[in-house]
Amino acid sequence: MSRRRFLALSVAGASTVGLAACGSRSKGASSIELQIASPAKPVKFALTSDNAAIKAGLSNEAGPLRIANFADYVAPELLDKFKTETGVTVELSTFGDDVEALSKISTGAFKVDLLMSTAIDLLPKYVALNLVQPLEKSYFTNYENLWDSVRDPFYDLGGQFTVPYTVFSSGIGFRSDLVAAPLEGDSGWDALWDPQYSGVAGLLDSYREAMALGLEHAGIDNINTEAQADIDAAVAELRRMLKASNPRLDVLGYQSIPEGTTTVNQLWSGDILAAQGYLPAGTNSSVLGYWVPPIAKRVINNDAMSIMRSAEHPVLAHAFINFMLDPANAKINQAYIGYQSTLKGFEAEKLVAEGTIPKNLANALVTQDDFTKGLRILALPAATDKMWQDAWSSLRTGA
Amino acid sequence: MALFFIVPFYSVAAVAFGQVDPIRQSAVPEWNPRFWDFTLFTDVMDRVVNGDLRTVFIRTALYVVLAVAGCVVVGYPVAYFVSREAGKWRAALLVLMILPYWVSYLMRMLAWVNLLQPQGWMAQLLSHLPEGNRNWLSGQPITVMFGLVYGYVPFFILPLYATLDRIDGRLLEAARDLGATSRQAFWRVTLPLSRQGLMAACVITALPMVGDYYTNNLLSASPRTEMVGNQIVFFLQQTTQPQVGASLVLMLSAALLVVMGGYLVSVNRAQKLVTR
Repeated sequence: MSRRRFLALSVAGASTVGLAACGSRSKGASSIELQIASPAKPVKFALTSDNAAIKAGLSNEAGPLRIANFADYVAPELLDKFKTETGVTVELSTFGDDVEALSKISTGAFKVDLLMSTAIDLLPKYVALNLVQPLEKSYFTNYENLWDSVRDPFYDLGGQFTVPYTVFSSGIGFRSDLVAAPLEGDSGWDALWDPQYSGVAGLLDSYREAMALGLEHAGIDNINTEAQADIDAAVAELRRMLKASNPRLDVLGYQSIPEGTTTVNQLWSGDILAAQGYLPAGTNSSVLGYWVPPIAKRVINNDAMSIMRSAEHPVLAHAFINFMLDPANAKINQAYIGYQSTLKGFEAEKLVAEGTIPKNLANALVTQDDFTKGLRILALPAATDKMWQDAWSSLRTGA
Repeated sequence: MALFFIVPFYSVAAVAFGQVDPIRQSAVPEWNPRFWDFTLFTDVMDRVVNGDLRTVFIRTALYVVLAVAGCVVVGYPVAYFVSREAGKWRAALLVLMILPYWVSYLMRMLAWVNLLQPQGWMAQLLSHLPEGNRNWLSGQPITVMFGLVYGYVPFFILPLYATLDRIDGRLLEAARDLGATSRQAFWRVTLPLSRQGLMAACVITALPMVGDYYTNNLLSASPRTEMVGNQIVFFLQQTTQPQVGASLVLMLSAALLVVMGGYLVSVNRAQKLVTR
């Protein structure tokens, strides 16, 4: 580089800094107080006059209906069916994780009417930022199909902003034809710490789920702990696991188990049901298995549908939610995505008897009782969340 | 230069030294350097220099060095052959070399996932070799490095081919006339003349490799092979601490600037030799 070019570059850089230094300080971060819910302290969000539900009895807008969801988390057939029934096109935007969805919606990068999988632990943020609008339930003619236990959930008393979409447990998926012994009893998760599964184990790449497993295995049932000592104990457990079984960190267990890349894998229950569709030709679903801990230690979670405050087509959004509350559509959706809806008529005994779910995967279905008694992953205060994230980052380094 | 370097770099710095909105979980960049906060950057630097992130940086450097060496071993003979020995097949071979660009990087890596699965034919083939009977997709550094070589070798071959193609054949004839064997002509004429092209190819290949996270995600996804790019993506996309991700980007960029500086000095010296 010549001296002249170096000087020109330096001047350009200095000018940039100089110009920036003339500006004012950036606006600080939000200081809104969050209402963090728990089963012990349920939350009923206050409704405000400047964010009211739409009026009842309105006609559908012309569309298109814009929805946001994880990839492969709604049956494409249903989007076509909705179009056939209403004449309105559905445009789907996808995101990789809940944090990305919140960030994109709050900054306007996503302009959607309906968020199909609102993370329950992020709902307080959506409400605090005025991103979601209250629901007008007169549009939900199928509302009676919902389980009784989910209509008044602790995270949204009265179901003012959300309607449950799917419900799932966190467990261990496995290949019953490849494991040394079936995972059963109270400590099936020990398989992830078993060196005989080294190289064929998998852990969810989710710091809340993976660390919750570490906490439980360390005998700590508070999966929303704020104590550094508890987090350190979970990290120690997971380091032992990493050393013993060298697990993959991803959310692709629904593929890797049927493909045989992993033999034991921390999974959400819907993934083991979806895994049936990824089995090699000629392989029976009897090779799949799912283990969950006793209910006192079982993590249960659900995603929910919510309508954005900035929705341009709120009536259509209500219509789509009602469409998803139809058992016939829920059945199509469950067959595609694997994840269970919270509608009546989807009980394990009935689905097994119908042949919809194989008997060996019946425990992948969540009951209404599970929903009320299971452990829940809740929102954490910012400082605690940072502790969890730093711990997970450290685990990921493999150091 | 301002558009493609200074502005993006400054944006990353503004995020690294800014704040985060704990509600929106998004970065609040601080554009005015008078209000930059270096506290978190210092903490991250401490983790990189003295803590657990040092392992990740060292591992990334090792993978990149070995992968670039792999590109040299694979790519140099290919570039040499196409530029100097292919004759009438040169154009066809060039097209074949460019063909991988037509397929997305993701698809090329997914193809290898399929091949290296326990039932994949490549895994079956490798199982006959000593130490070959293993799960190649479970935290194997060699799989990640292979993926880096496979993914980036087309970027290596093309600039090197351009350099080798420009070497005057009469120089090699002269070397042989003076009694050099083919091997001697290569080591004493071709290789020195291709040095600048080789360095350029190494730099073009190494720079994107250093920030790569996708290859590890697809072919390993294990903490044993975690690279700096994976940590950056984790902090930027899955946490409420995008400043940490931005800080890691700055540190990585600083390290790469040193490497680039060495390359530019070498190019400058070579140019001076030519013009003297």
